[in-house]
Amino acid sequence: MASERLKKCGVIMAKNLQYGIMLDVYGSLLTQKQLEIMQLYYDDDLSLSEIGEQYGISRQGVHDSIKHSEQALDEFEHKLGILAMHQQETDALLSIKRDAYEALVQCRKVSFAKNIADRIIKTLENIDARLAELGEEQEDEN
Amino acid sequence: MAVKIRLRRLGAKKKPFYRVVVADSRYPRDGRFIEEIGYYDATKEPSVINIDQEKAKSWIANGAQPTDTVKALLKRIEK
Repeated sequence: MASERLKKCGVIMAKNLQYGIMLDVYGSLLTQKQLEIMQLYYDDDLSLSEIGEQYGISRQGVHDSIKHSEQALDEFEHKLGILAMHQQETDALLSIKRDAYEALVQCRKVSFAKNIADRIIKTLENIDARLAELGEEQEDEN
Repeated sequence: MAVKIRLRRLGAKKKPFYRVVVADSRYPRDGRFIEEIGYYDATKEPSVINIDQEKAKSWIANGAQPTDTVKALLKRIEK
């Protein structure tokens, strides 16, 4: 944790935009003001002092609020793990999709496997529907 | 009047997509901006960065301040 913080103080303190995604999932668990400040910081890329001006609080105050919110978000993810679960399921579906596609290519080479190919296409369609539900519209590379 | 080069998030829930825009630092967050100079798509693996470097350079030469995030992106596409 401490080393992470040190890294962030490096020459370029790039924001970890991952928090933007965490805001989508857990944002409503923060207080209204925390959420607003986090959105200004991560979604609109405002600087601490710009946010401070808008709310009439100090730059330091904004920083504290953001750190608190980040800690809260980390804790939510640690305890609930919705994002990790989401990622796992997406990865699993994508690997099934790859397998099915390979099988489809194989089937197409053999003319009597036409009905098997049709079934695989159905399976692929099901997987795509599930992936879309997950909100991860992966681009169809095929 | 400070002009900034910053990201602005678009895209849907859990699908972040950022535009790189030039905007006045006092513009409210609702989206007024001077010019769009590129985008950053974090959903792709690896993430896609597309920034008009000529415009970025000329804006910076004219005193526009890129945010740290944009600076990091600019650095990445220079390589």
